[in-house]
Amino acid sequence: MGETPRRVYGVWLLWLLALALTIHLTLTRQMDGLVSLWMIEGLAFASGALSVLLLTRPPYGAHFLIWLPVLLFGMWYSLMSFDMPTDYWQTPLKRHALGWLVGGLGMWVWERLRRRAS
Amino acid sequence: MRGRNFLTWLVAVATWATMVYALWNAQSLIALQGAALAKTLPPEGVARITQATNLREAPLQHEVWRYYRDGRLAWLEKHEAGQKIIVEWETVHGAPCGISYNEPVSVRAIESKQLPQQGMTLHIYRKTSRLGCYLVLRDSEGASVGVWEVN
Repeated sequence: MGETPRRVYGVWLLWLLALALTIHLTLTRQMDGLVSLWMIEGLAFASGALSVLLLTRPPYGAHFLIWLPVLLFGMWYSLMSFDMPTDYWQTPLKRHALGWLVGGLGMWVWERLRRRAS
Repeated sequence: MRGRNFLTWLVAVATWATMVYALWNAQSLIALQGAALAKTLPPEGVARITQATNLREAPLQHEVWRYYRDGRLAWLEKHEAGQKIIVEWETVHGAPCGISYNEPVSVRAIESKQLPQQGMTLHIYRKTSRLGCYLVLRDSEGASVGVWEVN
């Protein structure tokens, strides 16, 4: 696997911005709680796909350091979700896992197409 | 190569900073999301407010109250400036709040368009952890006019 393209970092930074904005706008009551839930689900999915792109490319140590706090937040969020009125805690986890699957499949297809073209 | 290294570490620092912010605010975020979610779900319990005494403002920050239960009646009570503030309700059907009673509890109004008043309907939603509940106040037309969190 080659070096990490700059656009992967760019998308990762956009993801961080989207998460920070979602939290800020929810806490300041500018975003509805339900919209905020959908945003978190979308971001959980995106973080799964982005994790595949990041963790399969060098520098592996630095990428693990980038990925680790996202994992910690995901675990903390799921734990805190026991405060929800339903069994919601599984939902972001499932979205995240689906993101890994889609990211992995997408990368596999992309690599095959690239090899075939060359 | 040097520029790319710098970018990698910049992304790492930005990620850690964002995640510290996210971790710090996760509990408040989930309380707001939980309240919004509760309003869309069928209630686990339905109650009618039978008394709201000396309540002048909703507790917008976490406050320590006491929670009591006697049969179908349940009430939250607080002493302030020599006055006893009581919000009491009678469960019409379904589950009560489910937290231990005769003990101090943390109460917070996550949303408060109206104060609880006698005759209002209260929809009860227990938290998955069973360590608290959301109380959704509904007016005579069924519209949500407040959400209180009790832990």
